Amino acid sequence: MAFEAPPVPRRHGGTVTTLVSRIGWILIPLALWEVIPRTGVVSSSTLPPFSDVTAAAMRILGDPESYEHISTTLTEVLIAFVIVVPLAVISGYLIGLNSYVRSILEPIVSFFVGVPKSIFLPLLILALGLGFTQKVAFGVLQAVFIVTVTMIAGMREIPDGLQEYTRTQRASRWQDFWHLYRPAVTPVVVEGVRLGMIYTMTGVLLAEMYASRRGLGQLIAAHGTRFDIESLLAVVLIVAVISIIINVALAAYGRRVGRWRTG
Amino acid sequence: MNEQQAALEDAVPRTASETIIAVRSVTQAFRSDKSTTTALQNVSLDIRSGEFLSLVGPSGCGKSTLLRGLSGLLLPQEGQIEFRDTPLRGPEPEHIGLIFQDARLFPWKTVIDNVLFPTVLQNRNTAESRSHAMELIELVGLSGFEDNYPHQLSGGMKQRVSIARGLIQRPEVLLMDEPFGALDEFTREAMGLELLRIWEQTGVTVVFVTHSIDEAILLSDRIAVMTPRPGRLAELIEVELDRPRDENVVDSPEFVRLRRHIRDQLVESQSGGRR
Repeated sequence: MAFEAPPVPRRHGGTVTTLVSRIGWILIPLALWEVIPRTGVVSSSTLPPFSDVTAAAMRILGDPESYEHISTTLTEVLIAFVIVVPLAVISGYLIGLNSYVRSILEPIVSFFVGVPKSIFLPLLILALGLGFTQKVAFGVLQAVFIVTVTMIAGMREIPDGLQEYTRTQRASRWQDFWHLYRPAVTPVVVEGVRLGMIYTMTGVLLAEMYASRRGLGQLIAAHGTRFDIESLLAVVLIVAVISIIINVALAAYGRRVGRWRTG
Repeated sequence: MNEQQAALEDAVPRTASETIIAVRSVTQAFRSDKSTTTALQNVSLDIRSGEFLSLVGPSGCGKSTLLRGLSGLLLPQEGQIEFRDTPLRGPEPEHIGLIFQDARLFPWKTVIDNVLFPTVLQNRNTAESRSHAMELIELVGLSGFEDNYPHQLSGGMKQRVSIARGLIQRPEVLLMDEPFGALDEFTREAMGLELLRIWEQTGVTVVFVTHSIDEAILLSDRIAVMTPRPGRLAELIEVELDRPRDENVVDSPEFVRLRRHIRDQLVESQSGGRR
């Protein structure tokens, strides 16, 4: 049986060389961070060496009091996230389903993406006070529009003609959602959720830095006002590591569910 | 009485003359802001069980509209289309399959899962349907590709998957809308001959839309020649070429004669339509 040659599958991911050079690009700045303060080019009170900061981070992580801050921030982020994702996915789905509705609402949602949310922070404090609710609300506000826009874009990913095909199969609305829309948008939604996570964290941390009694953002702000740069950088390091882990996990999941798009 | 009836039925030879789909005086018009286009005007046609029928004509002759009507996707404005003497009210996926020009596979499903999709919708995805799907994948020549994703397949291979999916519910009729139109010349001829083999093995009735006169003659028992503006059925032609056919049939005198006849028919109707 004669076939046309199937397309050669594209290779993805890294070889050993790319992995090594990637690690190099991480290690070199860290080494500079370590060496420069020790040579005295920059004073070590302005920029404490990496090893000192890491040690401080370990100390902070070993302190039971820190867990209150970490768990406060993570709970706020998680709750905001649990609100954002269904809210944005459902509204994006409803907006993207009908091209007329989309043409009206998509520009409006995009418009809100472009407005810096931090300007609403004082307003939220007046409305909700300084507590937990205000942090969560600000986290939601930061993320909800960008995830909605991603979802609306995802609805365009439905491959041409498949709606007509499922109609020839007498698929119900629910079957269309489950077998057509859901798998088609999942990779895009995961990507949107990953973005949403970054924005939610930004929102929560910003709100904590602005005015709060607890949380990692508050800790950063407090160390800053005391000019305790070593502890400040240590908390920054902790936050960076936490967000990198979440981000990498979501990206890996996104690649897994989006395998069919590239191979 | 019963005996008499049985005797009568025995007397009738079971040939391919039994009508499976009847198109009765169907008229279909599309309105836009400015004008009305009559896509089909008073078209009547009996499709015989087990035959290979092609609808041929230039773009705008209503052949795709007629095929959509046969699939139940489009309900006629006037007249009606009957499947086994019952008017069609919508798609009948268990009886009538539709193959599009583009394969329309689910890109996130493997070959076997695409083929099985109709049974999943019907909650009939059993071990039996799985082995049936494997047979169909073998029938369309894709054994070994069950677990590949569509983006790993060529255009012709995708269309083979689409045909296997169209056959999974054992439909009586397979409607095909220019299924090989997007393929290159060589693949197209090879796919046509493969389709003949599949048609002979399954006994399915095929209604095949094409604008290639050669393709229609090569494949069909009968050709319905359609002419545009308004879409009408100009002529029904019996193709009396022996089966099984191969690519050499293209050079036979009968093939050449039919080709000239259909071309004349189309040219004549076009100039006639302009008067």
